[in-house]
Amino acid sequence: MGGNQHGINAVEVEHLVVAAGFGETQQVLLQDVSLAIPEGKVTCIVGESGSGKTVLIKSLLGVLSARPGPVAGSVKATTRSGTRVDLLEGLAAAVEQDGQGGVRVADRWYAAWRDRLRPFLGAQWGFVAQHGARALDPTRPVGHSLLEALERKHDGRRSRQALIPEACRWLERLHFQQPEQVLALFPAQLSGGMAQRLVIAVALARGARLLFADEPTTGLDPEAQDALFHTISALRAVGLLETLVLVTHDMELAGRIADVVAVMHHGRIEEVMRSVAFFGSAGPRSPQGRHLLDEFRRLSVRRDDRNRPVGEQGVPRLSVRGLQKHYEHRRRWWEQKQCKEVLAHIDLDVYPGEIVGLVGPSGSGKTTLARLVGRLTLPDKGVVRIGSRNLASLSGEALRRERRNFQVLFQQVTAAIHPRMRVEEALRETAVHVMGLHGAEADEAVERALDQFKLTHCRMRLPGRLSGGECRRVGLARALMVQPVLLVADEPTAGIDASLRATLLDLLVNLVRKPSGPAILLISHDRRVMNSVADRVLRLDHGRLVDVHSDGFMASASTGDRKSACQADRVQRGHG
Amino acid sequence: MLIAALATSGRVGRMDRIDDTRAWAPPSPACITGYDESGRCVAWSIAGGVHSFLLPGVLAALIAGGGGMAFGVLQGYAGGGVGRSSRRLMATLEALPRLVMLVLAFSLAGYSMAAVGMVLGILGVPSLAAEVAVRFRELERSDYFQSSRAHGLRISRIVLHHGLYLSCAGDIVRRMMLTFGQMMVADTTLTYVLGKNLSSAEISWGYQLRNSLDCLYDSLWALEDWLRAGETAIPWYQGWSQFVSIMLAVLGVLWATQVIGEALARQMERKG
Repeated sequence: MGGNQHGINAVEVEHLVVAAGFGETQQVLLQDVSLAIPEGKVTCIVGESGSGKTVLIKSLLGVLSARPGPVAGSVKATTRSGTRVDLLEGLAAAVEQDGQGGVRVADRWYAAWRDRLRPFLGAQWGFVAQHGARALDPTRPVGHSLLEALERKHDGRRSRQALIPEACRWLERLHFQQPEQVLALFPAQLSGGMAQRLVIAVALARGARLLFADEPTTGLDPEAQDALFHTISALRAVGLLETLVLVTHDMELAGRIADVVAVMHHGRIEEVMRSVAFFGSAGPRSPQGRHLLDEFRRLSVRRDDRNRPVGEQGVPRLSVRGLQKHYEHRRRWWEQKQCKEVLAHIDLDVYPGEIVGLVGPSGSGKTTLARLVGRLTLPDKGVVRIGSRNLASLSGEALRRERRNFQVLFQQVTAAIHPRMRVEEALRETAVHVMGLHGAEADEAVERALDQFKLTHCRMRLPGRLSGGECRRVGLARALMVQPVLLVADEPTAGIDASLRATLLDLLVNLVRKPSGPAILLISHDRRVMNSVADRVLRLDHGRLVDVHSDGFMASASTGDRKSACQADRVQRGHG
Repeated sequence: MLIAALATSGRVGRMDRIDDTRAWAPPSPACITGYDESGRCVAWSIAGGVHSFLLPGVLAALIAGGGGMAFGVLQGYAGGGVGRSSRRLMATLEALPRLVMLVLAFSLAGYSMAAVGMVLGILGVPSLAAEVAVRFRELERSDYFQSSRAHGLRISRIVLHHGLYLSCAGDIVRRMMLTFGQMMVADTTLTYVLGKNLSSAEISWGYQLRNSLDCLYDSLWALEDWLRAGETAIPWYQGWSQFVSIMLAVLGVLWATQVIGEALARQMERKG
């Protein structure tokens, strides 16, 4: 599996064993992984959450948070001069199998592995992590990181001042307007898409032509995703990026960009196929590949019961009238405060049994609206009612008790559960401290939630040991345990694979359809999610609800979106 | 330390008893460490040192811990004007030189271990407050507090259980134990270097340290005499047991506070 199908391989992994852990004995995470990464091609590694995609590339780069990394097998890399080097040669002997599924690795092992990698990291291999802005030094302008990379490329022979024109050329190649001004910006001043493009520039500036990218489009709106896609295509066209290894959940992106698709499942490579065959009429051979593609296509299909006659009868679960919100800020302390209008006169009703989608570009005010509805901030004007209760009239203990009726699921996975709280403990806290249950009743509620959200296997795990999808399910379980009448879900499917996404959406739809189920205000960038489950889709643009799509959301998307949709059609229809 | 404190409880007066006839007497079944220059049993002196150091040490740790938690929460959770004021107060406290503050406290209230404990406790508040505030801000950045409030948890639960206990307990314990150790070092420095509390009638770490070094020097002089002349006024090995006992006790207590603090902190920080 994973043999060379395209000539020279930039990296060839054979029978790789990856182990990690903090104690004396490391747990085996990946076993017998074989994969060839052909030079000059885009290889997409797809798979469910927790299948080992990120572990594989991070271990190859020596950046796995729990050491050591690849402990057995072979990792053959091609150098600039064309010679092939086995980076694990002679190192595998240091590993002792302990006979209980774990391995003991000598203390010096990790340092030796990093030494072997040193000539490749930065100079030949680059890495783009999931959230670009976090890879940049927050205390310095972004130009510092880029100039530092260029300085190392020139071995410190040229001053930073002399390297500024070269840095600007890099930024122009990555479609930045006014590059000199961009160099002076801090990471926090960049949008998610800009930060990702900048990290690509930093990764390639030292001369790397093989780029490993881990979910680079997560959390980006469709426009930013398109910009990133075009940037990668442009870099490949001019030869500045030769080989790309992309870890992604996004089958649409894989269909658009990949030459080769590798499917991972339970820590193994299930199959490696040319993209044309994988997404074409031949289709994947492995059950897991077929499952992933089926789940992805299922998302693109409108559910039968969508647009069924719902609501607009009786009291809406959520009623927003004339909502306005603005923020004041000033750039420098001597300047006058400037007023930024975030939401302007929003009217919105969500009826029982309804899923209302809310879309809009980054910064359009979606999250502010969610926070206003969740009564985490107060509006300048307007009224938010949950059922018949005006939230502005509540405070203190009365507000806390009322919160049982409206739950907010935050975009950040880490907001769902305390990093040092076990899953069961978090659910018990909800049962005891939010629902007011005790003893057997609390136990029963916890067990029910664990069972309903398929979390039984990870009840004693801390969040660090959960996959993104499991974290999201914990958040959802906590929110829905209290049986709210309204759930505001901010990007609940971001960063999770198609299969889990479909499962989560099924779960939400089934809950909503129950007579006692919550109405849902669903905020997402994902057109497919909206198309699949939302009864109505509202578009928020610069703080205004400018358009309401009750049907054919995909068709009425913007020009850029339409282009993406057309390209995606190739994937959906199954034509190579 | 607890054993020493309990064992010497109510018997401190006996330890202070000075008996010149036993000065530098070697170890015996009655006193396994030997006697110091004042004729006091070194073992009892060490126990007395722990005894007189324990309560002020606890006081210092409690002041540093309590104040650090309170001001850390104000900075990291409350924010706004309250947070800013708290941050400025902590910055001012942090800027005060520790030694000057100790000398000032002694000149106002006279030298006492309690005064040392109180001053070190107060001056230890800013560093713990900063650590607590950083942990709180980490949670704030990941929307955790907003999410917990939106979920319907009480603010007291979010701050005390999620913020202080789950996020900061390890740091708090580590810092409190460090204050305990700092207190010992400060007492030793003040008594040994500055000559505070060097009267032989009272027991302090600095006094014991000076005593132990005296033992060492006397033994070395005796050894030199013995090597040169073949005879000495006191046996050359006399004083070694006192020196070793005191050094082991001083370093051991210091090391123990760190080890206990680290072990407790690790226990509280769940790793997986």
